[in-house]
Amino acid sequence: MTSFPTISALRTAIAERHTSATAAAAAACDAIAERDTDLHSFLTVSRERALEQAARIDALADRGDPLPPLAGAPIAIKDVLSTRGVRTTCGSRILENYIPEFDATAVTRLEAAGAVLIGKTNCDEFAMGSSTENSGYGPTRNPRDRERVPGGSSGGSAAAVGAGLALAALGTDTGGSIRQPAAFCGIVGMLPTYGRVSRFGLAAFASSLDHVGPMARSARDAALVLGAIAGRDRLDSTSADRPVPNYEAALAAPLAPPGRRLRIGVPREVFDHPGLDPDVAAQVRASLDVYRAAGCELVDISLPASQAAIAVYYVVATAEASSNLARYDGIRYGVRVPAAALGDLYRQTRDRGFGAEVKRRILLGTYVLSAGYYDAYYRKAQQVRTLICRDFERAFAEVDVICTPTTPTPAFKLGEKAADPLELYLADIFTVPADLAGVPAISFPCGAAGKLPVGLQLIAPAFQEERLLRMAHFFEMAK
Amino acid sequence: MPIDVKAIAALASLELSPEEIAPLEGDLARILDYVALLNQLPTADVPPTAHLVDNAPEATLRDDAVRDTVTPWQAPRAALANAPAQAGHLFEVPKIIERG
Repeated sequence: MTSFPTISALRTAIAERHTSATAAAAAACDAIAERDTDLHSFLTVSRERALEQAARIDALADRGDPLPPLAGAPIAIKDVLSTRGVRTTCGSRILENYIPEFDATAVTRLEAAGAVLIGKTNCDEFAMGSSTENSGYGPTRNPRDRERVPGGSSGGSAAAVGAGLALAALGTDTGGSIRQPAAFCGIVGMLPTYGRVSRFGLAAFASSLDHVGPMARSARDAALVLGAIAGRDRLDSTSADRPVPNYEAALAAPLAPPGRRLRIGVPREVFDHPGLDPDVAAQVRASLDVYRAAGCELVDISLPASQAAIAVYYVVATAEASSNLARYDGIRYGVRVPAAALGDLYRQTRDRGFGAEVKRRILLGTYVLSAGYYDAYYRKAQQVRTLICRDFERAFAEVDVICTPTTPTPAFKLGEKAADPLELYLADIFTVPADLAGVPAISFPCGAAGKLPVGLQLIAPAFQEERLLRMAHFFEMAK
Repeated sequence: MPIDVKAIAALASLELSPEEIAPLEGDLARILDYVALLNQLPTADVPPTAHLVDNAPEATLRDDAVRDTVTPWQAPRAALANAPAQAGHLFEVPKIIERG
């Protein structure tokens, strides 16, 4: 499949019978068996399901029927999204034997658009982490440097796309879990607007923050995947009832709005941040010249409350997680530790099934919601969340997009941040604000620090995904 | 003030071994110390943000009418398919007299 670098190239080759969807699907599954042994980006390969779908695509091609937009594209799914008949673990031992009876809506829509689901990718347990080291099934390695993490929590999806094992993947992003691994593995990752993509069939972590989004090798492929999965879903009442634009067609439009220059906000708190690696900062600043040369205007802006984003996040997200993860109790699905009394069964099942980080977050979330602490922590964090939303509203009255590095540093080494949970949390400092405000953001590779890829993040007002994809595409073409 | 990890674990239905408790006390204390930076931001008249969509109920809820179809995954067989223990068409659990 490496001979077909994009979704469109493979689709054209299938339509013109230079190859078949079946050959591409078989090659993709074979490549995982051969090349994923040291990366460990996949937890489950769904060869049978892939070949069935590929046969449907080939039947269309045989009849000369028009092919759907993702026809034959081998796509990987983060293992927090439900897949009917294909084991779905959420990276947790508590679900090691769980085989869903239904598909997540994003999965249903990908297949309806012709995609071939080749397997489920590794991730931090219940998407809680930034390195994929919190998986109950062992870590994934970075395809660019095996000593380093691929980022997380969608690290398996990023590594699979980065290594060429999948043309695209679905990830999920609650605090940066699509964009940060995309940056670490040198691919494109997009956080859509809150509500743009249905979460039905996503194992809930923090419901006011969870997003499903595309990870791909180019802005164009990300646009194709987003177009397939976006839109209202009656099975998710938080999904937005807005028309889905043609994201691929939007790539060709001019960068600037009619009659004026495009304004890019550069937040001073981000570029002055003490944890920001100088090589990363220099690479991102130099990349902005591509836009400046195209007539865009750079505007110094301030996002003062965003400095508290990590603190807000670890109150709000853990509070919501403590509630959402109450469902894993050993009764209806997953692992059970038998006990004579029901309370012991719950407690022992959860102790055995959950890993250390998940327990830490459940405890923190339970604590901030407990009597006497609710106002001091949970309510306070929700109020500061409002301030962060207002920061973005103020900024977007002045600028069209905001630019930051996706991450303060390039990919770090396995084990480097494992001893101190707080240090690992701070790796998400530039990605968390967009999740808290529900606005869309994209990360795309803009260069390197040493040999490691650097991600550039652009953030836009709600439902302006077209602008982000267009700007990422423009950068790819300019390079 | 030190956090009573054992009491919080009981609220969260988590059994923790004695070896797990001591490091968690330190981790949680350090995280909460960091979270205290929230207090540097004045929020006296700021409303809380609990969620991001203001979908009116009439826009998101379907009509309160009986549907004549059950989707396959709502059928009893499917609902029980992953149960660790089942008896007939029911989930099987230990006898519940009082919360143990």
